[in-house]
Amino acid sequence: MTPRFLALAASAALLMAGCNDVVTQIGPENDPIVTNEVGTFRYEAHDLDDVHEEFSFIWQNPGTQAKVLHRGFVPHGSNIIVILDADGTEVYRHDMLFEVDDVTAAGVPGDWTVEFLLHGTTGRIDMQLETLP
Amino acid sequence: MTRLVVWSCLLLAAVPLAAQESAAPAEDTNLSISGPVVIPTSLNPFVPPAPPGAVKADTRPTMADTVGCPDCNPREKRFWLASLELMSVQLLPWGLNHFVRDAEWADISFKSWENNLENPWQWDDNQFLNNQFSHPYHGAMYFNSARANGYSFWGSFAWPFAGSMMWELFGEAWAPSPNDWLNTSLGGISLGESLWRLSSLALDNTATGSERMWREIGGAALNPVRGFTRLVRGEVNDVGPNPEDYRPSSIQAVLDVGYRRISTDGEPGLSEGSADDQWNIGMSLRYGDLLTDVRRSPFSYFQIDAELAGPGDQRKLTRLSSRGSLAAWPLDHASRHQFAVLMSYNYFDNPAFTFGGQSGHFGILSLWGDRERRKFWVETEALLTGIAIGATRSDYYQTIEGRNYDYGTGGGGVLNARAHFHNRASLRLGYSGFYINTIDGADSKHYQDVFTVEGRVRLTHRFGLGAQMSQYNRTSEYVGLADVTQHSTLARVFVSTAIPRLED
Repeated sequence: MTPRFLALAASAALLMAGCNDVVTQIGPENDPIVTNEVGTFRYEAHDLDDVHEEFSFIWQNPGTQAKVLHRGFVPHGSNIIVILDADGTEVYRHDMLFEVDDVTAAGVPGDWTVEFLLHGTTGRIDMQLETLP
Repeated sequence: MTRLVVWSCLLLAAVPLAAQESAAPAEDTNLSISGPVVIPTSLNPFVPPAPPGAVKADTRPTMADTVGCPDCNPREKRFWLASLELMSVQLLPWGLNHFVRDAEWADISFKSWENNLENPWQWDDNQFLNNQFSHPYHGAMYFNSARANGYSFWGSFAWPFAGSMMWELFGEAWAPSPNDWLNTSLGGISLGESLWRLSSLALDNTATGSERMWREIGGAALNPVRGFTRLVRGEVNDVGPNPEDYRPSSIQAVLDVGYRRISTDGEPGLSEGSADDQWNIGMSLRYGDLLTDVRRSPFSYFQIDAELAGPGDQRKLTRLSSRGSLAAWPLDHASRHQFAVLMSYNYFDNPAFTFGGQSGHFGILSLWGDRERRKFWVETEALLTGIAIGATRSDYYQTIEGRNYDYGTGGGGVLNARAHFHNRASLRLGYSGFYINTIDGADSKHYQDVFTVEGRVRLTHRFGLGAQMSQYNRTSEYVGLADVTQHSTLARVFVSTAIPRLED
């Protein structure tokens, strides 16, 4: 192998490594906390750094609507929250980047699905739901 | 909003102050003009032409030979003071948000800088007023940090770009936004040079006593960075000659107060239940003369318009725009037809029409007929427009932060004709059509046009009446969503006040 070939191979390897971003997911270092009770839900995660992950929870909502609070701060990337009612109908979808006080659309009470779509998310998530009659 | 009202009052106050200087004999200045002033045409409300010599350059040169003129060309460039002022302009809002409001986005650190440098830029979702007015206004202050410290228009051009980049990367924890950078930079240049020249109208280095004090306060209100510079350099008290560019060869402002009816349901017409009735205050200022100024330094020929209206769900500020010349070349011996390059800042937000953006224009400005003897003359313009960044109302993109508009680039054209009848009446026909290809927002293309007819009649030298009718059309083609077509009508009637007064 000539030095030129070695140099080329090393450059290619470096290039591939550079293009091959490590996909970061939420881990213990982010102190994720889930509080999932009938009528109330809260999810927190801290010090996120370029997280790419999608996950969901089933939350029991006895009401037809829910109050949505976000007390996090996501300066980079997105933190899209999608909420589906017991029939699977979408009642809420927003990118939660800062403090938010909002309300979902009306839906069917029962098991609601709360989805988190994180893409390049950097910062802190703190999302709470409270049932509304 | 309050700031805009104060500006408008100060601006209108500044014009007569400058106009008082028309008492100087015309032969004393090489900036005086021999014929009636040409008023530039555009989509903006018509302003009747100023009489010859309504406002002339300051012609009190007696001190020029004996007293230094620090603002006269070539000016001393003060890079470090300009940089310090630019950073101060950033430190004030940052400090307010960090120390008083405890805003998390103002928690900057080496980590936030690293995040901003490493991660991709993101289009932000701030409200229309914030992105399309507040950012350009801050850019105007960056621009004037340089302008007030000896830099020419072109020498100051890069400062808002650099200042905005500094803010986006190091002044906040939010990801840098391309929309903020472009709006702050390009809008800052258009607004900045307009405010620079407006503050020059208020200032007078030859004035003393209380007149001088009020002129300095007015200049500082219009251009705070310049006011600060004059204060720290002790120029607020220095008596000396005025630089030539303190006064344009002509100037004319109007204040329109009236009523308007504007459709709100996206359908043509103004029938009951589908339109809002609003009070309406409009201010328009034309600076410079088409024949003599458009080929001089940038913004020697410009126009600035502001409009307030209410009541309604939207903000009272429904319009702020400025458009100024960058360069021009004569196409005939008498320079009655000129090829011109201009740049503009636009902010429109009313129940029928939301658009904000930074644009460049090129095309032909013409003067037809007998303006010199004020019989009948027509000003026309045919311009092509390139929109570097445009924000236009979206039917589908709605964020929780309150953003309800799409961002994109685009282009279009402007056709305008304004006919003057013996300097007593005028009729304007205007058409503007443009398209925006959305880059961020709902995947779409927006095709928009506005057709305007406006008439004005002068009743006295100071007062007149006017009426305007505009038709706005928008067709928005969305990918995967239903297309939307909107037709809106606006009609207004008003009493107009000319500043300075018009002559026969």
